[in-house]
Parts: sequence; structure tokens; C-alpha cells
Amino acid sequence: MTMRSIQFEKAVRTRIKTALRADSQLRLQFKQAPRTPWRQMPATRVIARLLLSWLFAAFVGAPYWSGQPAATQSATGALWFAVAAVMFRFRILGILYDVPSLTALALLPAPRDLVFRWQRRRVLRELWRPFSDALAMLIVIAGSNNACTSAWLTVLPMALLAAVAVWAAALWLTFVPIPRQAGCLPSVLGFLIILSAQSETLGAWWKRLFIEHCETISLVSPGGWIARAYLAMLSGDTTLLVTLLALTGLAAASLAPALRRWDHSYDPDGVALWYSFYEPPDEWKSVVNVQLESLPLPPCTAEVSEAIAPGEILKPAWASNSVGWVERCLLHRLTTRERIILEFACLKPPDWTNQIKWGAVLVALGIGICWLGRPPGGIHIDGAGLITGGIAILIGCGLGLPLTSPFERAFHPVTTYGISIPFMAVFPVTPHELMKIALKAGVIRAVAFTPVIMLGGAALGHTLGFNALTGGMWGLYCGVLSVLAIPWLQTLALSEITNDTTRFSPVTIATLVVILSEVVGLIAGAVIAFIAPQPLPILGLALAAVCSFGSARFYMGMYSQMQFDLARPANEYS
Amino acid sequence: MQNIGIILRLYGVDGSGIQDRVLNLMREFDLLTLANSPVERLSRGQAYKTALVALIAVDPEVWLLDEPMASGMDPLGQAAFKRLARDAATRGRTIIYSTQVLEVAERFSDRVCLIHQGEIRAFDKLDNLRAGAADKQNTLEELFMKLRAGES
Repeated sequence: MTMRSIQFEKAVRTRIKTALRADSQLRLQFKQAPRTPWRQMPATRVIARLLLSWLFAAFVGAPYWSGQPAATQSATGALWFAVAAVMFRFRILGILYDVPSLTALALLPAPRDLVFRWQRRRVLRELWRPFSDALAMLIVIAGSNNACTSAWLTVLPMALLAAVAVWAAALWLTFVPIPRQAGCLPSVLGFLIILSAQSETLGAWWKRLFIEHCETISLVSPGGWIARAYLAMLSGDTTLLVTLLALTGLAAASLAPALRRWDHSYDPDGVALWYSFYEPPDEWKSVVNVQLESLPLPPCTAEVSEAIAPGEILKPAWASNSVGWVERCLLHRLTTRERIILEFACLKPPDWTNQIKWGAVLVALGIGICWLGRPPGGIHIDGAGLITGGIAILIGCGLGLPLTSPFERAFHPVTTYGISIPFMAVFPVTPHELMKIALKAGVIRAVAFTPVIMLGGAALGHTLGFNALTGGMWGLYCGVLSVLAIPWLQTLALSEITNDTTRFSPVTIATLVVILSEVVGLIAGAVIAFIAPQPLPILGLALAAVCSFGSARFYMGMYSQMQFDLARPANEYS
Repeated sequence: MQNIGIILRLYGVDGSGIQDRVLNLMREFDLLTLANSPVERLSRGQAYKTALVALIAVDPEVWLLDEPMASGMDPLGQAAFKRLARDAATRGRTIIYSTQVLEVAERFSDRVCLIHQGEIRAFDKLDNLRAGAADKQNTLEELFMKLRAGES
């Protein structure tokens, strides 16, 4: 019994093509059928993954290009593959136990072990990912160390060996229980370590740890062994080469016992063991562990009716004392109608207060990293510490400032008969009303967070040697610009749910031209605000305001004139 | 219940009797025991019934429904819906619903609009459509098959 027949699929495709060729009506319908958006195409994902491999390779190449010992390259590779093995572990478990096709397969009259073997083959097909990483790494090492022709020829087999070894390590990791949340930690930490390894972020301590111990760090993962082996081959150190190749080969060979262990652990008759490698999310655990005897009996309808106090149904959904101070501040400034719309559009109370809190923490952390990695110098890339800190600051600002639309539920698409309409379209709520509430909410969030970034900007200005006042002003400009961008962001969110650009017409062209020119105006205004001398920044902010509010006014005007509506072809949604 | 309340407030519905009306509707649709359940925990059919309770409580002039009979509602919910919709039609409300199940359309509609490939192919009272059909019990199916046959 086979799970998939390529010949059968090919034969069906051929017959479909023949039928389409013969019937123009059918051909037309086929062309009109929804297609996968390019963002979701497998090819797009493959290209994105290949780009990631080469980004990693750039980190591997950086130490050499900045004059550091070659062994730092293998240390960087080792760290990368250590992180990658953990990430692959979650990917393997996802493919094995968390794919929608599994439910469909479970309903087929196919033996469970056959389904399992089929899933296992899908896992092994993913080998190209570590292979791509290893190949990119070895190409960069070979290129940066002037490898001879024979050394270039070994790149391919060594990359394959490294990929199998890393994959085997990931397979063995599937037997180690790691909670999902804990799994994210090494990924994030690993990324930060790789990035900060390029600079003098942690000063002499880091330098001692990374540069002086890079040969030891090279040994933390099979990817590092193969990189180190390749460097040993280039330097003619045969003993080290053979030792490391043997070690990597051993790791690669452990793939077979790992697969066998899967087979032994898997019991086709035991449904419970279907998830034996998989840690269920916490909420599942609470469901599984609950004692059936302790479950309360469902209330009878009379009890429920009596428990609902008179008038309760028309009370505001969110009590003022159950939300954070930022949300409370907003609720006090909304009219009754606006408050109802906010409750409708958000479903759950927003969590802006907590976001601002965490945003402030991240900004502080980022400033700390920037201070530690301040110029001069950098082990591999000058200013990489600033990049690391800058990323933390950007994430913090993203959390604290009003840069996203708060109306997730209102804009949620509902698909019917090939058309998607936002949830709000069937209720008496207008985009104008949502825009007004978004502005009020945005102003309050920005006012709450701007002092944090002003202080952060001043601290950064002081740390990096430019004027603290300038840093503080930049923080203020960020806060003001985030408010000025709200109408534009809201217009974009609306554009996503209307059919404004689904037809080629003068209206479409006008809409695109106005929105794009407003983007240019907004960016130009922001640039002027940040780099021009006083009083030009005020003019820059004014330009940004005119552009943002202008685009929103134009778009709303077009919407009011019924130039487009809240429906668009379903396949255009991502 | 909170969601139903939000929608009622959105439509500006108030008055002393509204809570009793909502509770009665929830009882009819067998939703009372789910009154405090978060809406994301409800099944597709339960969510549809919740939306219907809100709609019927608002009591608009025109009801526009997408596939109410294929919404995952249980038989009790479907029966309650048909009865309440018929009551509303008697009160002068207009109820427009889409369905792919022709038997349902045949038994539960006053007028039928047959749409095929995005075009209206027939729009009339069911009695008038029946007049020209050979099979009086399956008029719409017969009409639909004729349309398909005419195309090919």
C-alpha cells in the first residue's frame, strides 16, 4: 500500500488539462478560480529560507574579513547550528504531529504505521534546510580562506555530512522534553549571541570568551565540527581533520538509531502514544489532568436565568476597574457610542498598559546594550552592539507606540461565495467612526509612551556622545510621528478590506497615486524632522501631518462617494 | 451574552423587556447554559445561533442570511430559526437567505431567486414556478437541471 501515487496524480492532471483545452467555458472558470497568493507559495518560502542561509553565511564571513582568527568562523557556525538544531526539533514535531493533513490521514483506512512512515519521509525531506546552511557556511569559509580547487570539491560532501549530523542532533532532541516557550528562548538568545559576538558589546570579558575560546565554542554542535574540520584541512592539520570528520560522521550515523527509536516508541495501536514525542500545550494539560469527578454539573437553564441580574445584558462589556490605566484613560474620553464601537471592534479589552510596560523594559534593555557596545571598536563588525541594542529599542517602540490597528475583530475577513467582507461590514459601524476612535486611542498611547522614548533618546544621546537634548527631541519626534501616522495606517488597514484596487480604473490609479505620494510625504516629513536644524523639524512634522490626514481624508471621501466598498475577492487575503 | 449585549447596544436597542426577550431566545436556541462562555470557545453552530439571537432581538426590517441551513446548527436550532423567521415574516419583516439545498428553499420560501454562475435565472413566487414544472415536489431541482442542460 502506498500513500501517494505520482503516476495517478499525473494522469489526473493530464486529463484535466485535456478537458480544459477542449472547453473554453471551463477554461474561463479555471482562470477565475482563486489562486495561492505569491506570499504563500512554497517557492517563496524556499527563497526566503535560502536568503536566511546566506545571511548566516555573512556572519560566518565577517570575522575573517575584519581580521580575526579563522577559528572564530567555526565558532559562529557552531552557535548557529546549535540554535538551528533546537528550531529543527520543533519543526520535526510540527510535521509529525501538528499538521492538518494528519487529521485527514487518521480517517483513512490506512495502517497507522504506514501513516507514520509517510510523515517520517516528509521530515527527512526537510534535510535541505541544514544542508543549505552548511553549504553557505562552507562556501564562505572556502572563499575567505583562499581554498584550492581540491578543497572546493570537498565542500558539497562535507555540507551534506554536516546537514545529516545536525538533523540527527535535532532528532535526538525530540526525545528531550522541551516546553514550547523554552524552545523559543535559545532561538532568541542564540540570535542575539551570534549578533553580539560580532562586536565588543561585552568588552574584554566577551572578547576573552569568544576569541580566546573560539576553538572550544566550535565544538558545541556538529555544524561547528565540520567547519573546524574544513579549516583544519585548509591548514593541513590532518589529525584534527580526521578526528572531527569521524566525530561528525558518528553524529550523522546516529540518524539511523534515532529513526529506529522513533519506530520502537511508536505504537500503532495506542492512540495515546500518537503524541508520545509531543508536549501538549499547557491548556491541553489542564484538560487532560482534570478529575472528571470534580467537574461541576452544568447549570440548568432556570439557574442561569436567575443568575443574570436585571439590565446586565446592556451594561458596558468592560468594567473600568478591570482594564489598565491607559485603557481606562481612553474609556473616559470616549462617547457612549464610541465605547460601544470599541468593545465591538476589539472583542477583548486591549492590553496597551502591559505593552507599554514591556516596551519600556525593552527600550531600557536596548539602551543598556548600546551603552555596553558603544564605539569605538567592535570585534568583527563595528557598531554591531548598537545594532543589537537598536533592535531591542525598535521592538520596544513597536510595543509601546500605536503602530498597529487596534480593530482586529472589526477587520477580520469573513469569506462567502468567493468574496471576503470584513466583520464590521454587516453592522452599523462606519470606517469614519473607527478612524476617530483609532486617533483618540493612538494619542493616549503615544502620550503615555513618549516620555519613555524621550528619556531613552536622551540617555542614548549622552551614551553615544551626541547631545542628550537632541536624543530627547528625537524621542519626542518619534512619539508625534506615531500619532501623525495613524490616519495613514488606518487608511492602509481599510484599503486591505475594501475593493479599492481590485479593478483597473481611474479610481484605482488615483487611489494608489494618492496613497503612495502620502507615503513619500510622510517619510520626507520624518527625515526633515530628524536631520534638519531648528525650526525646520516643525515644518517636517507639519508636512507629515498634512500628508497623513490628507490621504485619510481623500480615501474616506472616495469611500463616502461609493467608489469602492467593503468587499473584495477572497483570494486576495493572505 | 456579552457579545449579544454589544450588538444590541450597537443598534441602539434598549427598553425594559429586552433582557427577558434575549433570555427567552437563548432558551429557545438552547444557549442559556453557554451564556458566560467566551465566543471563541463556541462551536460553529453555537456561534451562528448566538448571532441569530442577536439578530432576532434587534428585529430589523430586513434579515440577510448566508446559508442558515448549512451553518452547523443542531435540529433544535434549525426548527427554532424557521419558526421565528416565519413569525417575523408574518409581522412584515423581509427575510432573504441563500441556500444550496433546494429542498429547503422549496419548503421554506415564498419567493425564490435562482442564481447560476452569477446571473439571476429565475425570480418568482414558488407557486408560479411550480405551475410550469412537471414534478411539483422538486420544482427547483428540475428547473436547475434544465438550466444546466441548456448550457451544455
